[in-house]
Amino acid sequence: MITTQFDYVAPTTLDEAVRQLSSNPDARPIAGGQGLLHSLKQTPAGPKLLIDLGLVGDLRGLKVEKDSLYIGAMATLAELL
Amino acid sequence: MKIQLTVNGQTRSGEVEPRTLLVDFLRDDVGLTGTKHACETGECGACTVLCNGKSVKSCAMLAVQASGAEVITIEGVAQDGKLSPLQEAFWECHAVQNGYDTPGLIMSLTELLGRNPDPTDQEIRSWLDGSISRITGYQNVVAAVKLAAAKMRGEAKPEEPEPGPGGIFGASIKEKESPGLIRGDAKFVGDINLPNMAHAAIKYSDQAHARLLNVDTTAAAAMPGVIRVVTGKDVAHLMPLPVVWVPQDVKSNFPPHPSGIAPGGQHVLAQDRVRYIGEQIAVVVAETRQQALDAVDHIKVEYEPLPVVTDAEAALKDGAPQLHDTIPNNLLMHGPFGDKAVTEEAIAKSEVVIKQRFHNQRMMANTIETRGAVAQFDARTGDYTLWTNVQPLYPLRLLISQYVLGIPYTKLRIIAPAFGESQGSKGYLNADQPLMLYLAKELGRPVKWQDTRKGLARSTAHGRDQVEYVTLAGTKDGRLTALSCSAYSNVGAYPVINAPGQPRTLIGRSIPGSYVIPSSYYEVFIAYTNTVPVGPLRGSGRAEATFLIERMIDLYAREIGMDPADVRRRNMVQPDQFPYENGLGWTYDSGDYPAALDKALAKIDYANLAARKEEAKQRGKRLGVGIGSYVAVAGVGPSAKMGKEGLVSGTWGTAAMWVHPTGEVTVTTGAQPHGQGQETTFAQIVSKELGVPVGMVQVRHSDTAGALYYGQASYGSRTLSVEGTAVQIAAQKIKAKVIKLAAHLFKSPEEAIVYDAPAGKIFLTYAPEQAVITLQQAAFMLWLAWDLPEGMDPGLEVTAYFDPVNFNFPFGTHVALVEVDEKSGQVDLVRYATVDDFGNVVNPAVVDAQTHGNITLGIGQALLEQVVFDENGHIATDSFSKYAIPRASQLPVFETERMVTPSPSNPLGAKGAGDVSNPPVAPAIVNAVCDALKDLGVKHIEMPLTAEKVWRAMQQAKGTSTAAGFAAAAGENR
Repeated sequence: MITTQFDYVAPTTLDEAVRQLSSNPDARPIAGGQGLLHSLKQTPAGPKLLIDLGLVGDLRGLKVEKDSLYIGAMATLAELL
Repeated sequence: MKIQLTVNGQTRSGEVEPRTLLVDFLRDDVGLTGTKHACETGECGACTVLCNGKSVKSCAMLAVQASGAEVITIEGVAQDGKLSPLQEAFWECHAVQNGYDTPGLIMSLTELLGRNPDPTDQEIRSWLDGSISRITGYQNVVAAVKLAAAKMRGEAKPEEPEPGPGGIFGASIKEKESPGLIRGDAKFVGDINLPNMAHAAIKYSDQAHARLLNVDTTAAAAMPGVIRVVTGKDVAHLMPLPVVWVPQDVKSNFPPHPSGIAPGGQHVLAQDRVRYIGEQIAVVVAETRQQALDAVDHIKVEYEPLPVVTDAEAALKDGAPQLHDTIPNNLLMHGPFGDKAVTEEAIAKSEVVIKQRFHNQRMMANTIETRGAVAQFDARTGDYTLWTNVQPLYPLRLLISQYVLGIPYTKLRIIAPAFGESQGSKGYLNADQPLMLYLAKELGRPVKWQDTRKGLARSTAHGRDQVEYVTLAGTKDGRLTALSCSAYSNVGAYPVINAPGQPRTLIGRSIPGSYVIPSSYYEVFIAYTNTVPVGPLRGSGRAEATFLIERMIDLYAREIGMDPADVRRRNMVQPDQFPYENGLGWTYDSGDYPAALDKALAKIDYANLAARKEEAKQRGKRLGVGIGSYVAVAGVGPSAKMGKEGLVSGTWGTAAMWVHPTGEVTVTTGAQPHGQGQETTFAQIVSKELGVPVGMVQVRHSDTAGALYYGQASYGSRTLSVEGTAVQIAAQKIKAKVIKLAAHLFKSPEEAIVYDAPAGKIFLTYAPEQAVITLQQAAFMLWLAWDLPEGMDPGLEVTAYFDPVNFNFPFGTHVALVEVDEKSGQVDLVRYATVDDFGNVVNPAVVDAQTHGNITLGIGQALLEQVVFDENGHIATDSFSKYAIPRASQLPVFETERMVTPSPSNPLGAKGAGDVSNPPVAPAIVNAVCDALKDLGVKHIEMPLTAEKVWRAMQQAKGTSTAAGFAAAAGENR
């Protein structure tokens, strides 16, 4: 269980995520959560707001254009493999 | 925040805090408790669910993140009560042990099978690396996935039918206890929820040694939902935990206990001083577990730090910090066995003398399921009930009622629900158990507590931790002459209930191992230190003893230039020497040790490893082979012998058996299964003896309100040979009564009656077709009691006891083949072959599964696992990322084989199997690594053999320039 309190938003666009992040100094983005959730469980004090990037479509997936492979920041390791 | 998601096809919505984890939402809000709480860090996989078809660890995901998702939990896998092919395969392949890790494994592997209809062993093991299942050793899990894949492809062979009573003994039938565990509906302690239940969280000391100046609970008490905060002052009237293993032949020193009968251990909550990280200081009770955990961090403790000592040898030195005012020099006990002068003289006269220091490192059971308790008090009747995941229910009932709470024995009922992995760590009385009972009474509400992963590292007894100075002597041509061992055991800050048992008796009497050694001597100094208390861990005592003797044999063999297999063969107790008195107090009952050795060597093709060694060298690997031979005391035990060792408790087995008027049989056993399958194996014993199908035999256990006078529980590989024998005797008493009744009915002498169990009938020899009844008919007639022989009581029920005259002594040889990477020092275990002899075996698959668990724990000790304290007594290894446990892809296929030498110590001919095959594992692997590094001159490396340690040892041995700088740091490793 996590003993620190925070708010949570899940923006659906990159612009919205950036806006939320820049207007909240105590905010942290959360992607897979493997590292962040773990550290939240260890500390009594953490960020005041989590901005979930999971629904930001622009950041997801992989695409191949010409000779280049674009890997979205939210692409998962499983997708890559 | 409001969330809505689909769980197992049903829409579920709820109001959650953003911080609520998906696992907690599923368990607490949806009420699906099949998804388990375990590591809380996404490292063990016990909480795995499918989220939009992908397996996720629900402790590493917020509930809000799952909003809108489609979630499948273990409860949603079986359709209309029909198990999925994977679930069926788990059952058929004996892939379930205690079952706590089973739901997570099934969820994860369900995704694998959805992606890959025919995965290879390697693909399965690699996939399994996200889950920890040290208790199964993964092998049967891999087999289950293969079988499930075959079932799904329509290629699986149909299941073999279960044999009848005639063939049931020795058959690997499926375990009766598995389906509930596989479906996820078995209730573990964490799954028990009572009306109006409150939740507790414990404040552990964060100083290893300090005076408590002040414990300020004001802030915590003001937190939302908090009902009460209790400190040591509130429970000062409760007695400290008692100790029940007190050797009478030497002086031992324990903290005081007011009962005047038993000595004492730690208080339920610390009084004015804390002596280890994790000592319980206060407890918060709140409406929810979240609120209790939130508040516990707000308890402010003011400490006056005291000097800390964490090492047993250092604790005994002059000027060391003193832990207990009444115990000089931190010495619990100095206990010798054998004749020191004679042994020293024998050593002095010997041609070859080998000396070596070993540190059998401190380990943690680090079970997937943490310890927990639910307590209830009925104010109307004054009855207390405790649900808790412990092995010794009856002993704890006695100790908690009489020695801690001071209430009548009969007012306390203890129930062990389904419970997860123990590895021995759930065999103790812990402060939290009486504490929860106290709180339940004080608050008039049921109270539940379940430990966290960090708490487990601090509050649950650790294992091993002994330093040994060993001398082995022999002739130049390989004949052993004498063995001497001076040991220092770290018992932690307080004694657990049986604290001296392991370091003294279990290790001390076991050090000669499988060998004839004319003179042996053992002495141990048991010391208190500022560390978590230490107690038996699976393999207990025999693991330490086997390690030291098996390593010494190899060192001796190398010194005299002889093959270590030849040294073993030459010195082993021979088959015609039984019963064999080993010189330090054990009388080995039976066996053929050289045969097990030779079979194991043949399995690994020991004589022809040169080519393989060369091939490995081409790949930059050093191949090494190592042997671990063992004999392990099991079957506790002969009560009088245990009494002489200092254990204040009868250790006999018992069973109550009822044959109902319907012919169904209920057996209540003193065993307490937690993965050993006694609901099945004991039913097999009854089936064989009485000729009823196993499906008609119900095995009851784990409730002190059951039909049993007392039960000693399952530990130390005693269950089948002692409690199982009591079941057999009970069945034989039932048979005797039925034969008497039949003789009366058929007006014939008893000698003329045959109880034909395989045929399920009781008949008169000279009229088998006419004068015949079944057990059910006999039970019905005894229920009616219309026509009984004179003096016969109605009913068909008996109670049986079994107190063996001797322990039993399973034995065997394990052989490990390792490859050490020349560049990195990484050790790969490439083959592992075993030949074990557990005497007669009721269910071979159950025994094999136990063996897999034993091997995996041993591999963990040899290569990975170690508890680390810093110099201030702070524990560094309190999560799975810091305390490494073997994962599936790190392990080879275990090539297991059994011999059968029935034990004369019990009528079943059984020998223990639950933990005895752990001891040979670590020495076999360390012997193999040292063999691989032989030409460098590396003689010994202390466990765990991490790549770093092995690399340092190699560099140091090579004397390369890189090594010079590291030499000092690696010093202890040589």
